[in-house]
Amino acid sequence: MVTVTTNVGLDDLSTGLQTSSIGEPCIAASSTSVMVTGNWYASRSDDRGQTWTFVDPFTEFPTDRGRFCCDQLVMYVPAQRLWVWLLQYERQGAGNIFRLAVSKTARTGTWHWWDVAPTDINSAWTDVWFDYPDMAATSKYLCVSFNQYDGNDGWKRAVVMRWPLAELKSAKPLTRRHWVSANLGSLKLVSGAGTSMWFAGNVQATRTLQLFQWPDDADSVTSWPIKVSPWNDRDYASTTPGGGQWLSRADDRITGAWRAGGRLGFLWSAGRAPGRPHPYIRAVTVSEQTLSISAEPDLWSVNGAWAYPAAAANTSGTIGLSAFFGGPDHPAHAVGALDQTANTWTTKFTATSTHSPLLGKWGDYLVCRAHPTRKTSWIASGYTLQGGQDRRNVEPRMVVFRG
Amino acid sequence: MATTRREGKQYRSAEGVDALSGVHAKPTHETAGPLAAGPADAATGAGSPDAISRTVVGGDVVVTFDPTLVVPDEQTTPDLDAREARTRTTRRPKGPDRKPTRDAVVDSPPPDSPPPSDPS
Repeated sequence: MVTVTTNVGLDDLSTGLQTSSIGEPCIAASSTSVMVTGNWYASRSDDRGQTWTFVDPFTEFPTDRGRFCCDQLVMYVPAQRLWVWLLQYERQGAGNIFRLAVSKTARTGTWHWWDVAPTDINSAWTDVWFDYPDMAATSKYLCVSFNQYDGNDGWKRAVVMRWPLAELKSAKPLTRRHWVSANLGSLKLVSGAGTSMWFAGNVQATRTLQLFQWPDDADSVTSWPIKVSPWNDRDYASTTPGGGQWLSRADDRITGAWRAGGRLGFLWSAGRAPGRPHPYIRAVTVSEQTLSISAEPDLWSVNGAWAYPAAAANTSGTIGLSAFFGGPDHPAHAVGALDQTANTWTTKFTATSTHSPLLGKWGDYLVCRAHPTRKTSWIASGYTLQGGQDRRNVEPRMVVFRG
Repeated sequence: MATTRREGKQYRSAEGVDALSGVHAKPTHETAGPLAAGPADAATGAGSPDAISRTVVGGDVVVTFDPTLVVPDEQTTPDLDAREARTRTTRRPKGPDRKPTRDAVVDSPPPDSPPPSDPS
């Protein structure tokens, strides 16, 4: 059973009306504060989500390295009592930067930051820019993954970087290590990593989950290919009232990943296939010890499409989910929990849109995290459209639930 | 069933350094550490001429920025309606182009598939 204990929509004042139908809401919480980011706003609450203060990502930092662009991620690292805010900036010429900002309070005026351009990592990377970040922490490191694209939006490589958490606390130069793949993109980092970062990408053509481990005490990354059951990376057709689509941007990149209870889990959106009348969430869990497949507990429905999953274990080790469900109805946000014994999901709506997006513009990611103080709960981000199709009708959402 | 992990393929990572780029103008001691006295060369044309300056932290010159002095304008904030209109209906590729293979033909759902599930 899943019980939603807090379900708060952020109003116009909380977002400064700087919302987009491609919402990409991210959420992080300490014991006292919550921060939500999305396209193209941020908001902070110091009373567990009852009231919110708009934080403008366009003006919170200087434009000395270009203007804030779009993707944002925020997380709280309890062991270091540190907030980390990642912001992607607009291209200036061929390249751009991402800004890695840290604070102990997340309040305006308390951040310090490091800017990283592709050429900072490799001086030969003069013709590429960063897009599509992911961020997670191990015991010792903050890890960030990014894709790099050329000027024609052609994918060039994926980069995984890590910095010592202990160094991030200080206003000093950071020691960075990075690893590059020119063969696999959109690498997803697990939550709950421990003393190794695990991350993965997938290849539909070879039915492969490509798994990587980067131990805290090693400079090398180890990779294993894992054969999984097939899925379709096309046909994300899901019709909304009025005949439109809401999954035009969906693809099969991994958007949910966790480590808990001796297993690694990975989720992605898959297209319609025999036995799957609507797009659905492809799920694979793997034994951390043997790297053999434990289960493939897909989340699917005969009545509508599941997409854009995010997942994490709560402190008790149960896996929680944040995802969208829609078609033939308007897109809704839902949360859920995985019973890893029966390999079944229990899910619950948090909000349903009153309208559907124009041109299928929806996504591209959600966030689910262990609740910072409640052992059996999670905190998740979501969003819906309320009252129209305009970007201003986007209502981001903070949800606390247990299961 | 395997009880040990098979050997994986190993790749080396590479090292680098990222210099501190900026601090907020009114940092607390705990977040920013000691700052050198006073802003140096005040910069202009970056959001607000009064908001940005430079100072020295740990021997390096970094941006000092006071977000409370910034008035949003076109230099800081784009036309969000125009940006929304420009957003793509399909995403940039998730990785390198791959040619479909015969093995990729999807002809059946996963064999141990759980039952369907709808939200309540």
